[in-house]
Amino acid sequence: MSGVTFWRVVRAEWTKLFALRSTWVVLGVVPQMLVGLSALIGAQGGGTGGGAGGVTQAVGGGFLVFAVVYGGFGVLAMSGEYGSGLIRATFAAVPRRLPVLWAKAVVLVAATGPVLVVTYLLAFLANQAFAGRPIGLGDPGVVRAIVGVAGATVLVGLLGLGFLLRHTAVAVSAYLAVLVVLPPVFVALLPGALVPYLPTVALQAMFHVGAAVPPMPSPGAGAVVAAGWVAAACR
Amino acid sequence: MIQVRGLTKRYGGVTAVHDLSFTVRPGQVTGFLGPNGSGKSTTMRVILGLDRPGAGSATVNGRPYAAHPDPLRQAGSLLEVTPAHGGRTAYHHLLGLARTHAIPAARVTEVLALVGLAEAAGRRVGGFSLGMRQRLGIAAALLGDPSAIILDEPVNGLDPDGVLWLRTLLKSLAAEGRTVLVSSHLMSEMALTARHLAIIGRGRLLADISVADLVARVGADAVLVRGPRPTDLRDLLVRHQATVTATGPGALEVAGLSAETISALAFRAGLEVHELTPRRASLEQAYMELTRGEKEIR
Repeated sequence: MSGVTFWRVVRAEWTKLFALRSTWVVLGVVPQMLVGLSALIGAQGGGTGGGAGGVTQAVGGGFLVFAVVYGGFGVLAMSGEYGSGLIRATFAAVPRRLPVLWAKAVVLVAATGPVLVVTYLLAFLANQAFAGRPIGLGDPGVVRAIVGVAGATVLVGLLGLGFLLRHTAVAVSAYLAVLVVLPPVFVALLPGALVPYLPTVALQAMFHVGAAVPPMPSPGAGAVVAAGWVAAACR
Repeated sequence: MIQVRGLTKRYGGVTAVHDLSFTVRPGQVTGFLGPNGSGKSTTMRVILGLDRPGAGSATVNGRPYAAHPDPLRQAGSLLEVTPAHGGRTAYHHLLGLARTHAIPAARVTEVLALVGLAEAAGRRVGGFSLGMRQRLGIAAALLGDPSAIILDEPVNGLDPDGVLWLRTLLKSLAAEGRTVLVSSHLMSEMALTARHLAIIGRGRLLADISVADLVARVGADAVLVRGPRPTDLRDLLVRHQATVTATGPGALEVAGLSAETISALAFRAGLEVHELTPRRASLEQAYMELTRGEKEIR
């Protein structure tokens, strides 16, 4: 067989992703910065006491920063190809859009997932090592929150990937607006019953531990809603 | 083999291509010729499945390009500006494309050498000159060792050496039995490489003709003759079955006789001749003739 198969497209996208310097920065340098920042926040006594709310903060404090970086990373993976015109070469080799998009999604998950789990774990440990009243890894909800926040960040990247606008700058701005800037407005305007369905709220629920005001969906429900948004975007 | 049948494509209210049909056969370079904005790129985009036709069809080796399981092995292509991400090296750009068809990395090295980019393989594409980018695009087109090659204005950005290199490359690809379709808005360029021409203007086919036939069609060669006694000269030549038209004082345009024959006849008749200029109708003129009034600024 000499033709195109889905796994060959995945391999091609893997090759393309790691041939870019920016990939190494996002996957290598940014995590180190986040771990360092977490340690600093811990040492400054960044407000994390024990208890459930403290867990959410200690584990997921860096979520929004990461959401911006990895969301942008996802946006660039697709709209960057339109910007450079590379998409024509890509489609000449694989003349269907969806396999390309899905291959990019597989690669994004495979490349960022493990890095994010390790990063959030190290960031949590660094934060608590410097904080006054350490929360241990064995405390209730901690491991689940680490997995949840890593998963939420991966989904943010996938949302960005599906956020297909052909102009990179427009895509990144619109993406940030939808995920970071507009949610507080929506939360204020929307009837309470709809709030859990906002992507940002659903994503944050994935690593929330304990009670919240206003109430949040359960981590599982949050994951389902967020995955639904991703599925809607990546098609 | 590339076949375009009844192809029509509209963008909004503008008809870019109208009921276009032609066949590109293997073993020769086919020039796809037309003024800027005549629909060449649109046609090529449809052939490559990057645009859907409004009506009609385009097939490569019997099937729509996108319906092939191995498109890069069917047709290699380069549309106007070489598409590549500036942050990747030439090698990795090609490797990413190669992986989709499980084309071995050795082939990447091979095509880079073939287009003269072996030395630049490890450099980022962002730093490439236009000519180097164009060579990289041609390397990408050759990657899958395809039976058809489709290039849109490939000489753009190439230096004179590069243009010469490309002509030789295209001819040798055709000599290997491949189907080669090359677009250009310059007849002078096509005259040097193509053996067949598909000429379009305003999205309509003006001619689907071999270069030899086009030469024969327009090549009613004439000879310009000037002398002090044009009337006697005219009578003499007309008696020898020439078609003669007076083009100015003492000047005649003679069709149907060679310059040698005219000279011999005049010499024997004792008629002085001051000028005897063979005029060959050029492909360029034929092209201008065909596309006159078909130019459109878009």
